[in-house]
Amino acid sequence: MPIIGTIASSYLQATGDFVSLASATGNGSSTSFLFSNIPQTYSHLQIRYWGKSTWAPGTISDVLTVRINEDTSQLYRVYSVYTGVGPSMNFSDTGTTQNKWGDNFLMLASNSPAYVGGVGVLDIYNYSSTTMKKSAKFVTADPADGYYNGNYWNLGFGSAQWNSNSAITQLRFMANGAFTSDSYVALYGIRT
Amino acid sequence: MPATFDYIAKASPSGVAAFSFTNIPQTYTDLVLLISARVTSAYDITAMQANGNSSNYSAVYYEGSGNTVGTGTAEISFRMGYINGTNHPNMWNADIVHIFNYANANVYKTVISENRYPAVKGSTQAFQTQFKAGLWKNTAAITSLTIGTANGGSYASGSVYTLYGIRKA
Repeated sequence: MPIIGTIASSYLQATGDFVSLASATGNGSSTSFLFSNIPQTYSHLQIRYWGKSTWAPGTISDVLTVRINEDTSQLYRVYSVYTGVGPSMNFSDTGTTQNKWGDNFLMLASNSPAYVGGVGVLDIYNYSSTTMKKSAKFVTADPADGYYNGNYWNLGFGSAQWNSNSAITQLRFMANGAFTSDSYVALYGIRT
Repeated sequence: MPATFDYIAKASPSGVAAFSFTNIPQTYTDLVLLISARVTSAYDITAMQANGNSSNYSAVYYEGSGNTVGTGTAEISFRMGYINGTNHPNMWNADIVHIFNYANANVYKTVISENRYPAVKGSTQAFQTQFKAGLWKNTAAITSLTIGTANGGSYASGSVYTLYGIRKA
């Protein structure tokens, strides 16, 4: 399995109903993880991550964006509820012009402060179907932003759609900076 | 390779306000805690401390009843969801808690909790859905979890906390 510029495992033979398919670990230089040749023998996928990047914007966090099958057409949409400064509760609909899952989606810590990472769980349903549009749900949090904004930090949850009937065979995870060595993205298959 | 979502331990607290999972294996990537509980008081809140430590926790949360948003700093524990009690007879909360990168001694530990606190039909008490995230500003690997009621209530018989480990490839 090609994982560009990362230390990564390969797909392993496994038994059970919740199976680790692959994972990628940051190395301080790669800004992208690619899971390709995803087995089509499961019902759903789950992605779990702890992520921090070297991006140094100063006062904001990074984001973990996702592209499916390297598709750059405008088929992606995210609906989310997320906390912000105040604290406040916000709602977002990214609309129909997105070419990846990105805005107000999975949270990733940037380079400062030290030791903190964004976390999340993304579930993608019926990923191997060739007759269904793809739906996903997620929960995510990032403690980092709170250090800049009066100890308020971020929590979000929502749903995502990829308006395609194609089976998902590849998932690319991207950041603005390089993933640190403590970062991981892990892909699991779920049988029903 | 075995299944990667493994049962680690189960606790069935009854008549007590706290209990612990100790000697947590360090061989997983994440921990998942499933909760179905009640208390004998009106209601309570699940609180959790890592390694018996009572400092340097912070939190952000969203409560789906009334769209309440809040934060907490300098807390003494991860504060998670509400626990059903006598306010709602025979209702049990249903929670899942994700503990990420728990064995990594280089990072602070982050937890996400999804809590459902159901209400009896017709009750004037709130039906809650809560999402909470907590940070423990400590790099130590988590080897034990002490879990209890934030307000000191006692668990009712039938309460179950089940701990699982998830291992990445």
